[in-house]
Amino acid sequence: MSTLRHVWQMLCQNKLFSAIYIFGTALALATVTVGAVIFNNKVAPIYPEYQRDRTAYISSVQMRSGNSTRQSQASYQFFRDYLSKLKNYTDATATYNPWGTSYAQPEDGSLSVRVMDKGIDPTFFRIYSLDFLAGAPFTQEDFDSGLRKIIITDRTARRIYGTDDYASLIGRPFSLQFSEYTVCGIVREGTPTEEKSFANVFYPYTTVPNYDHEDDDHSFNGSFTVIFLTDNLDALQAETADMVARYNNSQDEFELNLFDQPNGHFIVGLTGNAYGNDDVSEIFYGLGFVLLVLLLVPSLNLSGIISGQMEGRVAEMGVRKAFGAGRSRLLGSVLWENLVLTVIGGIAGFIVAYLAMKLGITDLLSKGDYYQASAVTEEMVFAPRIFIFTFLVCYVLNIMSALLPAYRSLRKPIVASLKA
Amino acid sequence: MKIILKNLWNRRGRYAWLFIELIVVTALAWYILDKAVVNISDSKMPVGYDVDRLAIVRVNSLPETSKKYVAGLDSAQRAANFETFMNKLRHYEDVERISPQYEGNLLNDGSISINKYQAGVAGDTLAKMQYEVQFCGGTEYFETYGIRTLPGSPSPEELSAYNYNPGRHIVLTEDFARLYWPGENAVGKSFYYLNGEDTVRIYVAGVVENVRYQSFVRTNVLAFGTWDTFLDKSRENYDVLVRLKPGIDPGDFAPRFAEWAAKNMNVGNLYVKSVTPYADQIYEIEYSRGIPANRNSQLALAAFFLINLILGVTGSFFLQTRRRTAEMGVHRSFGATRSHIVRMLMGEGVILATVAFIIGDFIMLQVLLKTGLDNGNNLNNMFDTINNWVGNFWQHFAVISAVVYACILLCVLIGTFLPAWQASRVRPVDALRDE
Amino acid sequence: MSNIITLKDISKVYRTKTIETTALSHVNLDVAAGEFLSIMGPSGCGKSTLLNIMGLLDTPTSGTVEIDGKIVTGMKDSELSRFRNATLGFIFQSFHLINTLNVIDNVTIPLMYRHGFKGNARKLAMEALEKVGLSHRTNHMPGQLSGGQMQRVAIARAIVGNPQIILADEPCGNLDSKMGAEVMDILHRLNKEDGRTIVMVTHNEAQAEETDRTVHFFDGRQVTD
Repeated sequence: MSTLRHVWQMLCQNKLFSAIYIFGTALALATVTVGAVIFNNKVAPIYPEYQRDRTAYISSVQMRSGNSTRQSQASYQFFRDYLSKLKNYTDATATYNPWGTSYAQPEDGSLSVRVMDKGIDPTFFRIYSLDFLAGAPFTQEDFDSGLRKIIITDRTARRIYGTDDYASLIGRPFSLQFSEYTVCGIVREGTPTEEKSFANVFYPYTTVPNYDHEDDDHSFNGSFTVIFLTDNLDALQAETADMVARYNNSQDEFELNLFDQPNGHFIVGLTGNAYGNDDVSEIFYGLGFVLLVLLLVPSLNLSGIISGQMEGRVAEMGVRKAFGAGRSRLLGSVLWENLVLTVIGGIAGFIVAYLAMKLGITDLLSKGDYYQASAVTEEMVFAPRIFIFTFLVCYVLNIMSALLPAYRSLRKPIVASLKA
Repeated sequence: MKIILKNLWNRRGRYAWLFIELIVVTALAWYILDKAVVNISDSKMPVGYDVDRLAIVRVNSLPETSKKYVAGLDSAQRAANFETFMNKLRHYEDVERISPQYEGNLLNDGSISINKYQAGVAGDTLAKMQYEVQFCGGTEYFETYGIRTLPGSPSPEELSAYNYNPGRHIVLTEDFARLYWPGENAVGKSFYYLNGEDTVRIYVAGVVENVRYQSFVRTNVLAFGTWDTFLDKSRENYDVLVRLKPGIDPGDFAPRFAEWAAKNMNVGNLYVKSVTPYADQIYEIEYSRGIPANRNSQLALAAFFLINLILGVTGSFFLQTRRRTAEMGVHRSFGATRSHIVRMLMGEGVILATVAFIIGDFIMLQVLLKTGLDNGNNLNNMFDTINNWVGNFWQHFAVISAVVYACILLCVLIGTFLPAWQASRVRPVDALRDE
Repeated sequence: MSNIITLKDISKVYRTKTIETTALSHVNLDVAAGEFLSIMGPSGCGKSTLLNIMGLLDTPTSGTVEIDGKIVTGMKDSELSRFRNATLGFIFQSFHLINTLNVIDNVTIPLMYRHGFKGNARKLAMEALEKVGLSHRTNHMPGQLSGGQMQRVAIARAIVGNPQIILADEPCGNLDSKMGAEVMDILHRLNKEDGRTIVMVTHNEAQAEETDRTVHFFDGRQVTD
């Protein structure tokens, strides 16, 4: 408590320096926190993608025939006849993601509303934990018989029907591109940066005409992304590579290339690339370097300020030493005082980061859909790992900025200190 | 100036932290601002067509599952419906002219070919990949876009009405023509398109002023090829380019027309799916590719470092001026005005920043000579860009260096102003009392 | 002889929220051109305050200051700075040399601020240093000089701009008797040979007796002349 009182007195005596110190720390912490949340949203489990650590994707298929190359998502045939027959997964789903935008027609005849739509199958609900606010998912029987049922998000329900009485919407007609569906469920909307699971409306892709033979010339190319849940990604990748090699060897007309897919969520979510040979350790080194730099510059600032403050406290340190305080004790107390200031700055920075995210800063910094704003939820910002991370960052910043100046100033002999 | 330099030299120990920070921030700011400036420069380059009064009307056909679907239409009936539909659009009060194209073939949107071309004689090994956009003849394409032609080339109207042989006639941008025939009129000249083992001879029907296919890719080397001599009017989907009358804002036109179209433009199975201002379309593509996100992240990081620099400079200079109060009093007592004091202290900041910048810039030059400068979007590495500062190492280095220096200097001036101003306000008698 | 400094009814009062301190009370003082005036009094009597007001480093609460025929009270800060630079030279008890500049750079400081100055500052500084006998130490830093030498540099700085008036606040206060005598000797030469007006605050009776006139102050008021 006496340390806190002492720190408070120091703050009041040196208002300008305290303001610069706290502002500098808050800025560093706010930046690191926003970066941490964006990173966390890309890779950590968040609604509805709680199984990201077990999820892998195939979303780009290249078929070459002579001089002609076609690259796109996968076709349903490819999923049905090859990919679903692999062994090293627990669940596999295909999602239909057509090119171009879709529009829903409100009941009252007002202007069509732009929506992101996704065709899915029932396995989708096992991989992604959509939170049903009303109704239920369509069943396997619904899917197999191509029943025109549709699941819409809460935000879409409000936009199309103008109500949040979701239970009353079950069974209502829904017009998508002038095709009619029946609402069977309302779910809580995710965030657009979750490209693989996000949509405003979900329907069985068996309702899409010709979904199972989009393009006969290159039958592996189409509009589907394949998503696996697996406990052994390496084995799945090896098995897939083997399947590709066997296919290519079995015929001369086409050459199939999957670019080492399926890739796990960490690589895909972080880099935004469907495929690639990105080395995880390289990515970590890169992020680590960015973090170091984000801390290095503020620490240089804070070091300078602390150096200046320590010069003003040389006589005080001399008096304390004269009355028996050892150097390590004095160093510890200086670090502790600065930690209090750093924590104050850290809390301020965290609050600033939270407000900035609520105001939409993550949309400015993330790619996504121009027409969809991200909802930054408390779950994203107040995740325990974010707290722990930012506190650790605070502590490291404190050490980086205070240790050297404090150590140097405490090396002066007592007499010299007292003369100062 | 001499006094400032001596002050700095004799206080070098005290300014060490700040000096190091200035060098570090110079290097970091260089790296980040290079990307940001190239990103911004690429976006600000003119696209080559007139976006301001342009909108896209996307036309779809009702699916068979729709209750309003009209079954059994043959191609003649569909073509007639198409004509009726387009006439309605053409005669809408805000519309100056339209150019219907097949779905997904407009500039900055949809599909594009990347073809291999070769100048000169067939068999010549020098071949390069360039962009090619497809359009349909007889659709007022060039004049609706507002694409201008070069002297010596047919006019936009003539080019739109040209009797194209698809795959044999092509229109080039100025930079593309310059690649193969620098200083000459390329109209009527021929070159080759490589299709696998075959080389196809193609003829230049016209040359237009530079156009870029995508707003974030720098190349102005673009070819316009034709799908069909004349538009097939029996298809299900079209993207219609709409040039609005002067004074009409596409942002106002879009919702107004969409509402009117929902009631008045359902012809056969054709309906208006969406109406989008062209500028929004461009921005939508950029957004989905993360272009603004990258730019914002880079600018945010740069702002982070520069704000920290301001804080560092302010903190250091306040510390310095506190210690030098008596010195300021001496200067004032011998006739220095307040502005002399401010200029002296800010001058120290400027010199510190300049020397640190020179060192940081030199360090970056050594690094960049090995790694190269930022080239914007990855696609820029694939295509030719002519006469652009980004591609010229020394021009690029000079531009970014100037931007970085300006930023560093501005931060230092901001950071030193308040301490300097405060120091100048201390009365000489109070300053001299401060021993 | 005409008066070069005229102080009319000068008062200086320091006010805080609760306390009012009168440093000077209705002081009237004239200094003739070419005079060597000393001001004496106990600590806290207001003599340094008076010197600061004369030197335009401080402003009176009331009264007027006239220097060389110009009324300077009420001038703007920039005008005062220029006037100070042209007309006055200061010598401080604590020397107040700038530690990061060498001797000759310290001496040139007044010339840095001389409006329209186009001459050779270094040459003038050397001449001033020759007058005080320190022309052989131009590149030394203040930390390398004795107290007396530092004060001689301060004198050189005070005269380099050729001011008519020199104001010295206890110039020998931090020096031993030998160095103090050297400094006084220089001041007398400046007064007699160059005709400069010198106003000196001192505690030292012997030094005060050597001057043309001594004024005594007590509790902010002039007691004798």
